[in-house]
Amino acid sequence: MTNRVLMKGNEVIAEAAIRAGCRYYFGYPITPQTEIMHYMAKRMVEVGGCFVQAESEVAAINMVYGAAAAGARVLTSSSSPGISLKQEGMSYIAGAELPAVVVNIVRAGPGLGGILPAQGDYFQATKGGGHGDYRNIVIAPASIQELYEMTVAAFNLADQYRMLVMILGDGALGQMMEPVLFRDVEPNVSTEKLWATRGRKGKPEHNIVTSIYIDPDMLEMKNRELVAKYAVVQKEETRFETLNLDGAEIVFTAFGTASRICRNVIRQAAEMGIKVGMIRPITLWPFPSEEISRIADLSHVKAFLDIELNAGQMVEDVRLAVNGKKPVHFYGRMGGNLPTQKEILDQLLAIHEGEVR
Amino acid sequence: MYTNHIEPDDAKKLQPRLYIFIGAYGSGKSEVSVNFAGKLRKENPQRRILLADLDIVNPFYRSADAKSVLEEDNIRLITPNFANTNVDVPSVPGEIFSVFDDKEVIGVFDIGGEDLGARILSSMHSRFSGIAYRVYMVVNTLRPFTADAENIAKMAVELAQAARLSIDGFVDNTNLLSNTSKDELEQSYPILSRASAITGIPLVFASGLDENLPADWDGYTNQNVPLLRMKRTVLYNKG
Amino acid sequence: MAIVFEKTKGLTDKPFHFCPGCTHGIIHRIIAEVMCEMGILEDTIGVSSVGCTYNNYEYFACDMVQAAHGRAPAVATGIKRVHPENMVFTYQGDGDLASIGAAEILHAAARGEKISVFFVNNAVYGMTSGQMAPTTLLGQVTTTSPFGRDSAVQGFPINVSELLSVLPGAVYIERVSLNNYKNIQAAKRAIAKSFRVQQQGLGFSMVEFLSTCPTNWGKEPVESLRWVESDMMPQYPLGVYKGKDLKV
Repeated sequence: MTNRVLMKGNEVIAEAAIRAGCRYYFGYPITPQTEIMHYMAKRMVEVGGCFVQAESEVAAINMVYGAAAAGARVLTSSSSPGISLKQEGMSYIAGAELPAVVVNIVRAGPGLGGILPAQGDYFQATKGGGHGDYRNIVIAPASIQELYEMTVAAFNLADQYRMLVMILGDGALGQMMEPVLFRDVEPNVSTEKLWATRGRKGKPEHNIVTSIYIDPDMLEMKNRELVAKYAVVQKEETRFETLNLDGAEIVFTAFGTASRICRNVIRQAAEMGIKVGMIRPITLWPFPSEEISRIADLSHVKAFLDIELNAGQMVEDVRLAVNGKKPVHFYGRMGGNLPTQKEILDQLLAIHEGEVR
Repeated sequence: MYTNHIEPDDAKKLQPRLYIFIGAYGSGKSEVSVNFAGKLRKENPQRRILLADLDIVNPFYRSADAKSVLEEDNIRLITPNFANTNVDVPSVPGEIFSVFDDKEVIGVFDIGGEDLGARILSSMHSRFSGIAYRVYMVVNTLRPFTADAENIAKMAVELAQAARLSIDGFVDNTNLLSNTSKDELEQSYPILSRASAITGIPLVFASGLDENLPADWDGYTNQNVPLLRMKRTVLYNKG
Repeated sequence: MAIVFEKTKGLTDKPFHFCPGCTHGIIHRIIAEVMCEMGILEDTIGVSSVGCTYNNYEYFACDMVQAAHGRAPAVATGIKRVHPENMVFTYQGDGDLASIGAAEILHAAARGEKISVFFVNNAVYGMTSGQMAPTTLLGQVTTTSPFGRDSAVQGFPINVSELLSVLPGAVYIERVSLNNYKNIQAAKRAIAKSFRVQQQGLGFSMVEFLSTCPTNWGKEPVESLRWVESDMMPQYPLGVYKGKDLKV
């Protein structure tokens, strides 16, 4: 498949994982990400990999923990309620510094909520979710092609930093179909996992994978190591896309599906003579705070408008980055509803009326 | 019980009163079903046309999304009880059986993806003995799992087994959505021809979005395959 | 001078932390001895769980992975699927396996995961200081059943070996004890049989050890061993529950 093919978001995640060298998938069914499982159940047989339908999300993430400890590239996927169940395991993966990729195709919450698209898991994804001081790399693609490239990147980042990398999508992105070009990828096979448990095989010392540190000073030292590692990730791996910032009066902040709608509104606004730009974080953690701060310093930028499929979550990080330099407005829809272009345009016009004119 | 019982072989000789579209996930079954129902409407202005969205697999991108278009054409839409809501219980409305019982109706069934979706046909197996019907498998050769003749043949077997119905024809719906030109349909023709040779299932028509097709393909492709020119109706976000 | 006893190379030099009279130490030693005797130490990956033996990754000389509470069978599944040629075992207590990890053990057995599970049943939560376990006997006093376990209030003990033995994926299940020399030798044979079942790829196997907890039982070591026989064995009879005729 070197030519373009038409793929669903969920399928492309699965295919990208296979092409990145992932041969182990553990998961539990939940709408709207189940196509990842369906695809993996077939493809893993074709490529000689391993697909296990676990008894629960809790079991699935712990199978991931085991396979990652054993040195494999491994994937699990779920949707919001299932991701809540995985949080314990994700904390252990962070504590044991294991590389793993977790996909969250977000649905509306809280509770059982609904199956339609939402972005209400931003806090959970970027602020921890599980217990203890840790970070996950969180990537929020906005197109099928980007889902492919970022899923491959996720496996490389996971191995490179021995971290959990989350792909954060939503029901719309998971179900959406777009043409995708499977650019050749080189799995980062050079990562030698000398720490992995593969059997001692004559090694002078046995390998141990654990997240327990009984001595408080040892644990604090481990915490400091993690903090230092996360600082490197913040410096090296922050990704974002900017659009139309030249002379922009109002700047959108949005990720994933919400950013796709904003992109159309930018064109509509331009036709009306209003200059609107956008910064779209591709990594939600690390968050592009420095870039947002730089944009806030631009004299032609009068205000920010943050658009999300939630009650206002990423907007808190935007406000921290803008740090009072410019007003930051928010508009969001919930329950599985998407904001229409018209709704967003109306918000934009009101801000333009009040703060630009 | 049915009084109009006919043998399946005889059923195939009659003018069909029910068209069933099955296929892989994302092959474009819903778009084809909606547009095919529109074609039936034009050809049968006096008949009642019914489109049943029986996709119990996928809560998104389904013919239920085309509700307003269908209503304009006076096509009755029957959807799963929870279609386009926040619940994903695969619940089938009893109303679909009206197509079997009312001879004035011409029906189109839009079935969910893969063998999983096709199972619903198996669940109403005995009903098919009373009606002339056609089962068409929609194929997009630019989708995974149906990219070549062998895989198309394999999926045809899986679908037929799950549905407990034989497949009467392929529909070539090869496309890359808005990135499509006539090239895609031209390139898929030899693949479908080979799939026909392997399976004995004929290619009954090709389909594509009107704006992507050459204006001079009037009723047929340049490979002389009957052509359904389609409007885009199944959209998720109409904002 | 002739060497009459030598510590097995299956254990590290780290001293055990177990209380006097606790039989965890014996179980560790015989598992380690079997690994050495079968020549599988270099190929084995063990999974520690949560309980008094949370840190036995420091004791076993093979590669070790520490798992979250109750999840050891799932973690072992992940490891075994990646390394089907290696031996993989879990070491779990009764709270870990029969309470919080009930789903994981049941489904690992149902899938016929080719792992060895070493299940230590001492009828009490040792680590968190003597609360009621799912295997606590009726009438047994613990810190959370201070008037004795009453079936009307706290339900009944779970016989895990009997329960798992009805699953086709579980091919070998045996309950053993460590209350005397003869039973320790039988326990050692059970460990070896479990590893051989795994080596031959036959399916899931589990050895349940009736073990002591003098500290939380409030009994002296010898009294504890006697209590295993007098009180635990009637509820948890020793024997092979699955795979009696299995020749490995």
